[in-house]
Amino acid sequence: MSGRRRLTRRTFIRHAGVAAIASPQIIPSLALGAAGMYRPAPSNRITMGLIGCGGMGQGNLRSFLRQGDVQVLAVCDPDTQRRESAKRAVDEYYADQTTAGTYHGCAAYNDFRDLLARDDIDTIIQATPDHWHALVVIAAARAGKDIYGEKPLSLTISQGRAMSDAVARYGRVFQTGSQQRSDSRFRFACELVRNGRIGTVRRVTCGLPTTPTTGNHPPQPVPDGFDYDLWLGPAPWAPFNEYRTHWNFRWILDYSGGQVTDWGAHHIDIAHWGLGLTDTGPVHVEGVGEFPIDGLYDAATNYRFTCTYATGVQITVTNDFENGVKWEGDDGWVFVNRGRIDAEPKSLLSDVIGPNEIQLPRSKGHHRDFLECVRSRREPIAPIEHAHRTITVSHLGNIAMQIGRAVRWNPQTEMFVDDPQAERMADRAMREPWRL
Amino acid sequence: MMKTKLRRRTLTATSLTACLLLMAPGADAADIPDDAINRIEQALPDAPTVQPSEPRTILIFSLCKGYRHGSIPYGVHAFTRLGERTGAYTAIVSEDTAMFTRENLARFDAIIFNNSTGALFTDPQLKQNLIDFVKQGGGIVGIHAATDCFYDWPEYGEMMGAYFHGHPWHEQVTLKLDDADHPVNAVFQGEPFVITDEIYQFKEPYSRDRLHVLLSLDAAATDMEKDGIHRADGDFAVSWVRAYGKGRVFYCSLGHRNEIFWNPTVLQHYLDGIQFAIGDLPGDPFDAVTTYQFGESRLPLSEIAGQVRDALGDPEREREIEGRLIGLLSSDEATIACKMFACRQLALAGGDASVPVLADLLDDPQLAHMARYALERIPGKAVDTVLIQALHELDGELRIGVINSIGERGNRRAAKTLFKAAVGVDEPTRLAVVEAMGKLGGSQAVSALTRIAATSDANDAPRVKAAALDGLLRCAEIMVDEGETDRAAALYRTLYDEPNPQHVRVAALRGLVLADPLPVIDVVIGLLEDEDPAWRGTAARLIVEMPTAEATRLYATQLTDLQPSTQILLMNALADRGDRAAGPMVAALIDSADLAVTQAAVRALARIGDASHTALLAELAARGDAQARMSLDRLRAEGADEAIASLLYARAANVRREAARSLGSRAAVGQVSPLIRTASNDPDELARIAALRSLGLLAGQDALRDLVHLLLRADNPHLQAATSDCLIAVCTRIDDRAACATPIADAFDDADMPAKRSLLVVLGHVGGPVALDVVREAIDEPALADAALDALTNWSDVGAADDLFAIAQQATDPVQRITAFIGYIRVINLPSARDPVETVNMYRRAAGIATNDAEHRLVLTGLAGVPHTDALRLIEGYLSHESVSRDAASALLAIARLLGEQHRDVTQPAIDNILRLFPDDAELTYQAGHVVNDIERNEGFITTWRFAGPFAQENTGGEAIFDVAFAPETGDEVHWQAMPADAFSEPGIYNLNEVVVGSNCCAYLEAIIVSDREQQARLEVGSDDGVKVLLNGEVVHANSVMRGLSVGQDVFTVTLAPGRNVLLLKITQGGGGWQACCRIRAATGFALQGVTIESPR
Repeated sequence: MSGRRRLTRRTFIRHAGVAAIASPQIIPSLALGAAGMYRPAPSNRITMGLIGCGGMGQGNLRSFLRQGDVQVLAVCDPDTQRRESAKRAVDEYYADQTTAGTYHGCAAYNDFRDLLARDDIDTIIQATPDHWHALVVIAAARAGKDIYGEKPLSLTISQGRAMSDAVARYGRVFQTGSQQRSDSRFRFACELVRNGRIGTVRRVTCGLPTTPTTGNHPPQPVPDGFDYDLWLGPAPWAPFNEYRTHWNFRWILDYSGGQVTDWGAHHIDIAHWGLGLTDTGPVHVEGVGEFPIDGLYDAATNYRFTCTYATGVQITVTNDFENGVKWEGDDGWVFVNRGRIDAEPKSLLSDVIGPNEIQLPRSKGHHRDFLECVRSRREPIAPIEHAHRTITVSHLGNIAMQIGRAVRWNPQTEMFVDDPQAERMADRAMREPWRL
Repeated sequence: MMKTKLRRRTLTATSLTACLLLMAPGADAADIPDDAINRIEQALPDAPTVQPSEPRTILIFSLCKGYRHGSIPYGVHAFTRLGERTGAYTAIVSEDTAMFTRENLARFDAIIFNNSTGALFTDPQLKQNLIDFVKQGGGIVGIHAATDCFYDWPEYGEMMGAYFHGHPWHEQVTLKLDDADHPVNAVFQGEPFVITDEIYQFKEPYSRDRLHVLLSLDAAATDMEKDGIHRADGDFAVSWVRAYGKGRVFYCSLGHRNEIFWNPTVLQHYLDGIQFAIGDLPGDPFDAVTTYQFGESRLPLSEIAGQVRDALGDPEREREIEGRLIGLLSSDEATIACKMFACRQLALAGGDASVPVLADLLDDPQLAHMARYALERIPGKAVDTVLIQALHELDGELRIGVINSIGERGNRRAAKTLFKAAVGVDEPTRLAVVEAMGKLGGSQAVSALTRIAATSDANDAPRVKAAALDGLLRCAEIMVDEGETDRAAALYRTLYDEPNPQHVRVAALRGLVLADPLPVIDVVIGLLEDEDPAWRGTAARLIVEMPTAEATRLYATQLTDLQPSTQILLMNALADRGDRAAGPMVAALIDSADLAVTQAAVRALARIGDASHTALLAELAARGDAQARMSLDRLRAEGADEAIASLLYARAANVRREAARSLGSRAAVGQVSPLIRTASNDPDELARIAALRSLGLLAGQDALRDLVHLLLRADNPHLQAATSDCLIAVCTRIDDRAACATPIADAFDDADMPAKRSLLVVLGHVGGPVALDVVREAIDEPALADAALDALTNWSDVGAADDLFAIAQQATDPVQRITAFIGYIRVINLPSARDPVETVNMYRRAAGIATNDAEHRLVLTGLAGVPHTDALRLIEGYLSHESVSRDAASALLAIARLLGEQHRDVTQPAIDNILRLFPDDAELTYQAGHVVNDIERNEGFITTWRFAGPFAQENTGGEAIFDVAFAPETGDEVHWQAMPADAFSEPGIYNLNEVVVGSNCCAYLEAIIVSDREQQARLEVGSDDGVKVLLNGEVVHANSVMRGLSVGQDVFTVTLAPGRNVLLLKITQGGGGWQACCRIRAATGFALQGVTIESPR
């Protein structure tokens, strides 16, 4: 028996066995709401809880508060300061409702399980550090909640698979926080590529930032009001130092995967979207990365790895390239990032995608899209399976670079091919009492 | 590469005095004969093994309270010269115990106990100082009698490694290498070493578990019958190393005989040991790692991780390094942090050999997790066995950890044991067992979980019940994987039928649908009509997800029997599902009496319709159904274009029109021929026009002749216009002008007048010399003159310019004149690769024949788009024409904007001139201001800075450091450097990352602004991350923020003093990008007068 429990895919979204059409084409008006079947009454608000009150958590909180058909009932964080800050934000926002007597204050929890135990909460925002993502998402699905979950989806390949399976098992709605999918510039770029405007795509490059480094930092006393043991959760124990937590966890492999996952989650997702390879993965991954040999941060600083897919197309992920995604095909190229889009030939930029061409889903806004899917039970624009496949590429890259050689991957079985060493890196034992 | 240069440390006066004062008698080189001095000199290595990164100082301490060895002065001299000759260190020689005060010890990188003996000092403070010195990173070297010291001070023995216990041998012996690969053994080159000296025996605390022994007596080659041998194990070590706290210890028992100190091999061995103790020569990371604590340097850990990585794939090397890692776990000395690290590596490299030692750690609260971290990854039954055993022996959280790992391993044989373990335990343990069983699957797990789910009360033990239900769902999934579909379906059915929470029933239903969809069709369809919108949505989603093509048909056939609202939901779901098998059933619903159903069916057909549905959709579209039209256009199916093309022969004209229109919308480039036929022959004019429109979108060069002929045959103005438009659209897509013009030219003579006029229009759009010839001829024909002139006027390239000019110059008819004039201006304006000077000349010609203001204005408007100084000069000439001077001014400003920064010398005076001529014209002034602003957009950036940094403070992050004042703010001395010329990107954005390295720190930029008067200035600052601005020592702006840079993020006004003004920017850095830019302007936003930026000295 191998060291990793084999998890097989539990979803059949692309229904194997049914005659496949050339490509999917979503017609927006098929939402159940549009058929007039049910339009939620004004009092029928979606209730929500926030788990993880850091920068991303509070940002998402504000976006949802503004939506009008959401009622935030609770926040949760093991850091008292952040928890209280989030609670204050919610209470202030609902101040007039409180005076009117229709809102009774935002609850504040230290332990996410207490929040999930509440029957009156329909949905959660999951904005914890990466090493917590799997536990929160799976517990939330098991508790019947719909989830707006921050990226990167997972800490390991196995965790991502388990998360997607749990969401599918319970028929929950999950929106990944990859908001580039709701950005028309990115969508247009992907539609140009999907509709063959640059011919057969040969190579895609995802440019991501460089991961920072730092020195060695001594243990510090845990600040008052911070439940550090809970913050660590399933991760291996290490003494507290402020450089571990609250933003900088991103650069520490016990908690995250460096820029390869932090920004990889965004751009690899777009690369897949443009290629139409959102539900699969590469067959070969090879690359070089510099991992700091000293200092607290150990994620790859400079890196370049290339993934080859069964179709022959290659995706290269590196920090030695402008931030963004560039597809290169036989007939030209398209480049897109958060600030601009460019193409060769330039005329592509003013092209119109015809009604009978592949049209990617349009979003009314990443948070809005989530809420509408909560009501209609349809798949949102950034579904969890795509997020899992995306971040698997990041994990494969990190593994290939750490192991120092090429690895072969089977995207159907989601296992390495003849590679017990790489298999060992696909998962990690959780600290008691936590488990997947 | 080892360098041979000598490094002589420059002794300061104080230290030199100290040396002289502290050199004790007996340490003088004069105490050893010249012959010895020479031999030592010849035996010394020339170069250090490792070039030290900084100067090193060591203490040679030879105080004796007991026996004093005659070799001591030889050792003193040899060690001193060793450092001087190689540059590895400078030696201070002393026998004064005052060397062991904290201040004095701080001067040294290492201490050599050179044959010292006895209780060297008794002061407990001095003893503590020595221990602290080593533990905090200092080095200790013990030579020979150094183990004959401090018997009453056990910590010394522990640190040095052992105590002397007699010397049974003083003869030639063979020493064997215990670790041939260790850097300190390099000189021996893997071979045993023969030497004559007094060989020591050691007693407690000597142990190979604690010491890394390098060299020892080859007992097999030695006389073991000597008196005084106390050890029975034949272990007589000679050299060893060890880590002690953060420091390093090297001991060598050679050094009794004088000639040892001129033995080159021994001297090299001593040098390596000394450099190792100092820390310049890396030792075995497995030694250093034993004392690792969190927060210390990770270098030894990284080295070991590298060795592990390199060993993977080579079974022999894997076993070897696994052994060493196991050694770390078994060691009493190794720290917890070290052992945790060893476990991490065993997760990668561990095999069966690691299992027992890892199993032993399962009851250690500090190491149990990391033991499982390794165990979970190791394949094989041994792990499963120890986990089950531990299950029985542990309790509490440690037990839960083991239960979790059993679940992860998927060892189904453990199910029974697990279930027993769930009896009579607290809730957390029970919960763990339940969840583990869900991962194992199998009939035992299922029956156990069923029992638990049944007996757990949702109120008393909600978590256990929820976990049990989840476990059952997982077990069902495992059943499906293993081919036991029937049992899975039965389990799902039970879970669905029971009054479980909705999401559990949703999961159960989903499982049923995926495992065996056909029997539950009724259930799912029934749910489409459920009161609860969540069930309706779930049902729709399941219809999309269900496997097997058969299911599509079965669901679809249910359509007819449902209520309209349900029909709509089902159709939408079938459309999302995308299986065309549902097409016919959906199409049938188009006949529904319910309009909403019809619409939904029509909509769905866009996704799942096929070619056979095009006729129906076209009919509906023809009747005005917008949805049908959309679906007709979007239908992607094989043969759809052809099917629609066949509708071009439909009986009903409106259907034919629809078909013609749709083919264009669908970009059906393969249907050009049928469309031409329709355009040509269809009795219905609107159908012909629709076909022509589509042909305009689709047709290519080969259709041209046919289209031209159509134009010739067009017998009414509508058709003529439509055909003409079509031709124009097609020609616009064809690059080859002549290829377009030729069919038209060929057909021209046979055309009647109306057709000729239309053809001329087309020729105008085609352009090129072939077309021009035709038009020139037509100009001479009175009936065609107007049309020909129109064509020239609208010519698509500049080829018509001369013709138009000639007409404008010579025409007597004023209408013709102005038309030609306008046309001339127009073609000059067409995009071309022409030299702008030539363009200006063409305008000059136009100006020359312009006869009225309107025409002059046309010239000016055209000139305004030419980015060349010649155009500017030509326009300037117009400024004196009063009636058009204002237009000229406006045009001039437009050119100034186009010319940008490059031609300031010309544009600036021109703009000033305008402002002088039109002082009261608010609009022009405003326009001028904008142009100036635009031109000067990249002006005013400060590009001469000097910088200092990075400045950081312990435990202060990128935001907090904003408020910490460093030298540039406090007035302390600062090491300023000039900012390199190329460390910025346009227009004046400095990338601090290129000159300063750091995160969670800050840097400063300083510039000197020299102003000739007191005046206000506007500063526009951009920064990544935060910025604090000080002018002449006062804070004028502060923005503590984490952001990316954009130009002009923060804008504020300051007052410049006359003379030199010191501008200081403090830029904080959290991580990632680190940039700054600063632009200085007048308060009005225009250029600031009277300032220069001083160049940094």
